[in-house]
Amino acid sequence: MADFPMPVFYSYPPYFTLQPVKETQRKQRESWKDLILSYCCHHRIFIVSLDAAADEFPLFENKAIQRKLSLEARSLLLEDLAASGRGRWLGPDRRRLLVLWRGVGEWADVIHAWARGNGLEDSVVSLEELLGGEDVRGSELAGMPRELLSAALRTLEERGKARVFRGDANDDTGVKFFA
Amino acid sequence: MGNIFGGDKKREITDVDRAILSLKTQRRKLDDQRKRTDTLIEREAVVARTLVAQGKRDRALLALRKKRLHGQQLEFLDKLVLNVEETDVSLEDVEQLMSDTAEAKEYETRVQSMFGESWTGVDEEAAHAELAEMEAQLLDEEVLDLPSVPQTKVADAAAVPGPPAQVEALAATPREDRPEEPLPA
Repeated sequence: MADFPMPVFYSYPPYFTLQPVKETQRKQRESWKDLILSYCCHHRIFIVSLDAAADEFPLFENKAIQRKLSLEARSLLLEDLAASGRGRWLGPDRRRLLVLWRGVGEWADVIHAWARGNGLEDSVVSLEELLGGEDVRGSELAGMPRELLSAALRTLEERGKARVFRGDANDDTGVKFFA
Repeated sequence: MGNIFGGDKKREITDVDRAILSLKTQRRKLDDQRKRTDTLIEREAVVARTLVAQGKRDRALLALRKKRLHGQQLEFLDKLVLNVEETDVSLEDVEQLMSDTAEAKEYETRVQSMFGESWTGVDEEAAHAELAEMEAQLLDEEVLDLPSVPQTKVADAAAVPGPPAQVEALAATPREDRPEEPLPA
């Protein structure tokens, strides 16, 4: 966490309490939204959960000033991300948010560039390989959750750059990339 | 948009593609199974050592039989994975791919039945020899006047690779005691 430069507001206690004045709160939430995005991008965090322990996602608590965001505030911030298209709820209970510090379309580009870089155009790759295979380790694709991968592949399909297909009933899902 | 090229033949999913996917799936499953089996072997070794230390011979023997069975399974999995990985993927090899995949699937069924049956697949003598060895080892430790074997120590000891004799015994397992090997020579 040390190498991530925290914005100045992160050391101001009022930022950890939802502000009663509407306009002030709007700015407050905007600042937090930007911070969550850049923080997740820096640490390659894909999913933020409202149930996560503080040590899993320490951003919402600043021990130095002994302040932390309430559940209500955290929930509101994640809703803001979802509303702005920078996040997608995973599941109807709205507890886990896929944080899109890259949009789905951008992820589609990243995946296609990766496939090209690995000479995988016109080749078949299984979804499991994309999720944790050797070629993926240390690449831009590392750690992508299944939900994000599927969404990005759908975008690639729409662009005619890939096809997702099923083999036998027991087989993994396959992807074929095109130039 | 991509739909314009919808009729492009190159963008179709062929039988070769499906065969490759099948093969990749089987390799992943075999790899997963290999990892699980490895863990099981370690666990049975720890259990056996603990039981020997407690003087529970029969139950220690049972754990050793299990360990041996898993060992045979592991050996077989290693061969299968190697086989699958060595296969050169090209149009001409599709039939080979298909049959390899069928073999791997068949193997899954065989493992299931192996565990369903009694311990017929295990070399009894080897399991007994291993038990005797463990007991001798334990005796040695007592002669050296080590403190009585605490649980944690036992776990540590088990993490060390087994004595060479044990490996030899495994290698010497009679062929008819192993599952039939479907691999091409």
